[in-house]
Amino acid sequence: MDAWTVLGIAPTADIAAIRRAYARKLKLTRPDEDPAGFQHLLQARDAALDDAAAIDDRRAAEEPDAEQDDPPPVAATERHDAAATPGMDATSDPQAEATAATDAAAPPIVIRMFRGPEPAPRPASPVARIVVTAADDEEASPAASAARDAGFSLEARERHWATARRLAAEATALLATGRAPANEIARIAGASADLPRGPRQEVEAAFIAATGRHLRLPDGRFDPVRVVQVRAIYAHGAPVFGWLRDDQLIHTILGARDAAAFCLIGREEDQWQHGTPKMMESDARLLFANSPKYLRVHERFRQRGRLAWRFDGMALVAPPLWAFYYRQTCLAYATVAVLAVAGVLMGSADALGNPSNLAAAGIIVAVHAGTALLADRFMMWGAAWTVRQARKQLCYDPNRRADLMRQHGQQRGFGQFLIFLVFAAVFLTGPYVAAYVRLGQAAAALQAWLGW
Amino acid sequence: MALIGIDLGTTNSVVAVWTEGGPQLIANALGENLTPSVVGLDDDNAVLVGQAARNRLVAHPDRTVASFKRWMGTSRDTRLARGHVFRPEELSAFVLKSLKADAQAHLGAEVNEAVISVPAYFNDIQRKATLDAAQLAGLKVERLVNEPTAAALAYGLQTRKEGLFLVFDLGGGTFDVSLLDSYEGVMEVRATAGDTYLGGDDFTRGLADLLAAQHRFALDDLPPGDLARLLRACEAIKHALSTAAQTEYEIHIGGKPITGRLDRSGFEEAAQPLIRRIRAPLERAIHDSKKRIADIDAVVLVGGATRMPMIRSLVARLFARLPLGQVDPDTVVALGAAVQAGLKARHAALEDVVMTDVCPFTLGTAVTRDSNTRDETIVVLPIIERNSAVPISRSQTLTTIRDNQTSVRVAVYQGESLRPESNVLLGELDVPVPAAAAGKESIELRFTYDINGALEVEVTVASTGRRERRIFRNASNLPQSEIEARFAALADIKIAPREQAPNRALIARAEALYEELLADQRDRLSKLIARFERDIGDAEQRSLDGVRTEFAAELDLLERLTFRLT
Repeated sequence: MDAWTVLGIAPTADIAAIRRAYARKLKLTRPDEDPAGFQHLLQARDAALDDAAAIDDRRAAEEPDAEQDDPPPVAATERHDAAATPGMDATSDPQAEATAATDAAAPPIVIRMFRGPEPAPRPASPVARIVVTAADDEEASPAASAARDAGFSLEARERHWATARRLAAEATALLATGRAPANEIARIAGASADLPRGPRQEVEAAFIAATGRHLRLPDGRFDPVRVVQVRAIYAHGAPVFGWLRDDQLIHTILGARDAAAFCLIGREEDQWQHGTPKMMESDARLLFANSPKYLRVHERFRQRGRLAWRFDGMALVAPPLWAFYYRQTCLAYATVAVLAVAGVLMGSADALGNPSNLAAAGIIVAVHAGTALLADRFMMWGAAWTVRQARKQLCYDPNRRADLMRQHGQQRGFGQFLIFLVFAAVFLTGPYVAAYVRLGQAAAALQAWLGW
Repeated sequence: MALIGIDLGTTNSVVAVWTEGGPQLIANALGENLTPSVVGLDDDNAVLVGQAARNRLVAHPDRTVASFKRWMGTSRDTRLARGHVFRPEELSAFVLKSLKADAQAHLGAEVNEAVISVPAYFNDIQRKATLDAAQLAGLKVERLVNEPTAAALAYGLQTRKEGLFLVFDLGGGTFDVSLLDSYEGVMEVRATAGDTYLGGDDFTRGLADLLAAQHRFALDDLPPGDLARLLRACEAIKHALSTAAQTEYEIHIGGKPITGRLDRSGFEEAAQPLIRRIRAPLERAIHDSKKRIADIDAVVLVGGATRMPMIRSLVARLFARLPLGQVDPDTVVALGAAVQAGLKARHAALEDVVMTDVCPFTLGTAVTRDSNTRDETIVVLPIIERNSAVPISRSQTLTTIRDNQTSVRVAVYQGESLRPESNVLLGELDVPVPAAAAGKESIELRFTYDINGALEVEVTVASTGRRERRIFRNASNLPQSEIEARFAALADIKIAPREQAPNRALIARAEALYEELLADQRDRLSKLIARFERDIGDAEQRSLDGVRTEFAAELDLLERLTFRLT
């Protein structure tokens, strides 16, 4: 029996209408009087909600297709099937759109990538199927996908969910072993490629939950074994679940997570910096427990909440800025060193203490130090702004707020101390440079007087 | 024939009834809505329940018992006197009996049926123990309702708001979280999680540990009387710190007074481990509901322990909004149970309200991992996933793993772990099957979880069609014959008459105070007690109230002077 018939409405993407219909029917089949009828109704409701999302997806899939010239049709369908929230997000997100456009324009081999690698023959691994279920051998059969295409039936849905749950359990058990057998991961990912979106997300959630767990060793370093595992998951999961196919992604996720923890929770800041695994229990974890940031990587750019946007922004902007700052500083010191050595060598070769080299060095040092300083100030301002915003929205407890402010003040103080050191390094070397120059001049004068 | 709703709490119990105008609380003999869940024996071995027993906790720690809800589902015996050894079910039954008597006095009619609330995270064994307690008290339980669900029901009905609510229920001994979706008259519980061993008592205990560490004594070495006194003082400090930033205390331990000053931040520091434990269930409930924090429209705080400012600020911080303060955290559960009673009786006012609940645990059976690879590690195969809507029925087909296997052992587990040993074993069932090659014989295992949270297991052997059906009773639950025997035994136990309750409570309170006092004030108090006992002996019913009020006022004054709580 069709889910929509059970609910007594026509197929629709309107979630409120489905809920209304469910409420109306529920009052006729009360759970304490008709348990079987209630379960049937509940399944129909869930199926209808799933279906509504699919309708929504399909509608969204049709719009951009009309605009593009000649995309491979299968790839386009697959792509939008994989994308979780359609419609307005696509327009509000140029980067995701860009990625999608590249995908669509790629040669047809892309289709294969989207589908994921073919399921490998089942190896004799200690973690495998849980004993026997009737649905076990039916999964990933052509019948399953045919049922999906043909429309909707409660039985097919049941089977999909059973398969998804089994796959999710397998994934969890597999990843808990701490190893990363790529063929097993590929098998699970491949098997879930045929599932409809709702059940597929179940498997996806299991994968992502496993990637986030115990990534760091007790001493704060990333666990190399786990990192290998995470890489394998992304390599095989990305095509199936529509994650952005980017090896750097792993680091981006970790960066975003750490940044969120940093910005939100002052007290966990030390833990963040020293990398203790406690961070995973922080308020940030809870706040993002179901947000796309944590659970669904491919929705990173689709985040609607302003707060999350801001953290994403910081996570994207902060690392390059820091890199720039450090590069500038290192460059400045390296230049000084090179010029000093060159000056000494050249000085000994001809006119010892020829001041033009040193003047050039001084100017370069000053320029670099100035740039570094500006970058640093900018960073400080940005960090302070973010923390202030986070605090405004999340801390109601005045004691805690004061605590956070004090901690941040200490960091600022340390930053300023560092800047002072840069200044001191520049200015304290000044007299030595001057003395060196004078010594060179004196030596030259002596040479002239001696008539060498 | 009225159906009452009972909140059988760790610290306090409340009874309410559904009337035409909505749920209504029923006061006990002392005129209070809250009846402390404390049971004791008085000097004549008569059973005391409520405030009177609570006041005797300090003076007679060996003859009084509190917080026994935490032992529900275990076979722990409590010895109150020679020949008076009780199980947790029986202790709860005394409280239920007292509440039943209050309801009967209020309604002027016989009451035999009740809806009783239990923590959502109570497991099958604990739920059955609660049903047994009701049976011992002579009550027929129409429904067991989950506490956060009951709270949400009362709250939802009171405000008639739609949206997604998070009920944060931190009671005396248990912690529950429920996410409730309310729309179009449907109250749908989306997810439930909790911790049955976390509550206000643990905060009190944490405070006692803190004081013990500060004053260098060991809690384990204290005599029971001193320990009870210390815990009671800690509770008073905890309550005081909810309103004041700091408080001074003076407690007599081992004959010596220990004094000091404690501020809120010190207490919060000591309670950090407990606060951390609060997070896990929240996280799980939100995750299971597939909702985000931003989707939650309101947070409802239930349970006396949520009065602590640290809990309120935790909630405010986690959910980035202030919790609702318009419900009374102590009584809302009982009101909800009364609403459930009204729903059960299909009252006209509740015609358009339907409530659906979920089962908080995963239920599964033990299987070998994979017969093909000879990996015979035993793992749990989930059959009913946690947070599925109840009533629910699910089945799974399993096969034999050995050649010529003649019987299949079905072990039923409750819990989330893959390993059977980390789950709760609900029961085992041996099913005979015809001998055949491995994998050729199969059984169909069907789990049915009803709306009260009771599990029924049905096994059908495919080849013979033989069917077995079982509702498991755990070893730590009482067998039915035992319940009947104990029910008869309880009838012989003398229970202190209800009319005497106010006087007994006052005298018990005075005796507790007597222990705290020294020389002169002791003298004065003992004279007061003697006068009071004489007065109630020969006073008219009319002037009795005056005598009581006068005595209570004296006690108030002395208590304020003694505990120095400001």
